[in-house]
Amino acid sequence: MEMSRLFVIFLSAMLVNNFVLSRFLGICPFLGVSRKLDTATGMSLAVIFVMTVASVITWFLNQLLLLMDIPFMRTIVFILVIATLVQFIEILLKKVSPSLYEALGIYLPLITTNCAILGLAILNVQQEYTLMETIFHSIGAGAGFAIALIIFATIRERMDLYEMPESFKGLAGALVTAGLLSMSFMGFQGLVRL
Amino acid sequence: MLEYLKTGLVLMAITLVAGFALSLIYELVKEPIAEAELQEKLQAIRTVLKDYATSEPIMNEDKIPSDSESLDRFTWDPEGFVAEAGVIYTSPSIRGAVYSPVYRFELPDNGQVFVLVGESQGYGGPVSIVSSFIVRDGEVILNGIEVIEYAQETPGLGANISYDEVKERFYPVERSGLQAGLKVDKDAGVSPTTDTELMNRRRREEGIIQTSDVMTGATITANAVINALNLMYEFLSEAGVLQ
Amino acid sequence: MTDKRRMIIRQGLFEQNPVFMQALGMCPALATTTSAVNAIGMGVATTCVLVMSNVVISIIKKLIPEKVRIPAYIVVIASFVTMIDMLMHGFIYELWKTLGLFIPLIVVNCLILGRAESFASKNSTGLAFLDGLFMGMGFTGALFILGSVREILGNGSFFGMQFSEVKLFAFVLPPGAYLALGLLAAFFTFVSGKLSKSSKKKD
Repeated sequence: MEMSRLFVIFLSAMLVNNFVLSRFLGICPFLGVSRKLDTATGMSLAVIFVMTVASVITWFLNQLLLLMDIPFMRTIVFILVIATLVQFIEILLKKVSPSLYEALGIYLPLITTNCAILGLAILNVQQEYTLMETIFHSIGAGAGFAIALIIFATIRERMDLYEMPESFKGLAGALVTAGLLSMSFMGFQGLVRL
Repeated sequence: MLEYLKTGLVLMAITLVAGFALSLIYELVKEPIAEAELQEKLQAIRTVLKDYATSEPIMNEDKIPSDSESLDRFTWDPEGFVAEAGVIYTSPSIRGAVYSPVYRFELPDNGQVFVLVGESQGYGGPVSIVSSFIVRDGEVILNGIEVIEYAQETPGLGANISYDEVKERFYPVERSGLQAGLKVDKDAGVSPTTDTELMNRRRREEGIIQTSDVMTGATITANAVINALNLMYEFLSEAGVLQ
Repeated sequence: MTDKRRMIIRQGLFEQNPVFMQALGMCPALATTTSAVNAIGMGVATTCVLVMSNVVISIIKKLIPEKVRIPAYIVVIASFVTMIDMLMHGFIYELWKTLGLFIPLIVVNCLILGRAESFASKNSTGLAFLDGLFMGMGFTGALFILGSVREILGNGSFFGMQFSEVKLFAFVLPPGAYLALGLLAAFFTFVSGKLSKSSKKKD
């Protein structure tokens, strides 16, 4: 039972309630870094990593906030922790694994203002997930973000090769494409029975 | 080093000022927030305390609670259940929760009304409902429901749950229907009917809730309500009030 | 000076419209525009935060060391967001429930941090106030247009008033948000392209 519940949480975060295509979280990087496949992959990995670490830390912090009875400080504390964490990961990566830093480094600063990270942390609190559920939910959400971003990037790479009406070049075309992608993800709706 | 200390101190000062300002506002809005939530609950309780057939209050109007004090008097503590973090009952088989406290009202004719608040998972978030079960002469009937939280459901589909004509599809249900477990028509494998009598009989006796025609085929939100209701029924039977 | 003010107003509402032109604050623009009322609610909440944070940041800009500039801005913005969140919870409970998660997420709306960094930290308090107000109104306007289009097409109603039985449900569902915004953005690009062409011809 426990295992299957975790799996359901993971799957629904990844496909059914896809963060980008159905919850509308993390749209900025979704539109911003989806022009090339390799940047999209780098961003995806960075997001999965930060999401998981940030969720675990914010989970513990939330317990502390509840203990101290100051729930109204949640937003401030969470966003500061996420910002600090991203900085910290950046420094750490630089020291420990320069090659990984090379690959992810430039995306890290962008992640602070990625609403998917803060959104995930707040969602975890709202759904009152346990630590284990939080971890599965975060990995699922990150994977869902990665899937959406990578599919979208491959589509956009091809779109550049085709003729398009002038007004649809850039943002407008990207949004319509995202709409079609979101429509196809609605097919996952019946996948998980809650 | 000194520089680091200075920047750290400035940031700390800003956070402290912010925290102080926020705690002031928190104190200020605490009461309106509690009041808004209480009013919503009281309104919902008033709604489910209406008779399903006549829409008249099932008990004396001035006995129906109108503030938190008079509501507290009807709190019911079933034996063997301990409320934990505001939840009195969860089940391994049905997703959702029954909230604490649970209310019990005595009827003039020896009957009892149990008013429960509970939730289950909808499309975008939790769907919370208030329901009333009337137990009288060894019979039980689901008398009414009110949906208090459906904000994350899709407008035009799941959010239709807030319309009276949709809510009315969920009650009344008799013991046989409740025991069979409520389900939507799609899951029961029957096709929607325009014959009101047949639809009502299916619901009362077999627990088949027809919503597909009024919710444009959306089932997730309807299922959330149904899960919550099934859970509430399970709670009542485990509490031993349905003999 | 009045010229500068006029420019701020024009840029906020049209030329640098946060949603249609700069693609800022897309998450709330897509997520909360299922109806015209929700769109306005979100727009006004964001505008309040934007105006207040712009004003405060332009006042304290000299006190903040360069290094912790961004975290300091974030704290200021987050405080105002929490304030709005609590006030809405207490006084407009229904709307608060509908907007849900997206109220705390105003913190990471790139529009607000963007204006703090690029405008409020460099300009006088009066101008920062004006900039916040009109950028916010541009944002609210864009959300309102999107919310109206989605509600009219998707639910056959406007401000909750039902007038049509034709309902294209896709428009209230997530894909419709992308499609509607994409089509509106194309329309705006088309119109502004035509306008700038004709004004060039005149010159």
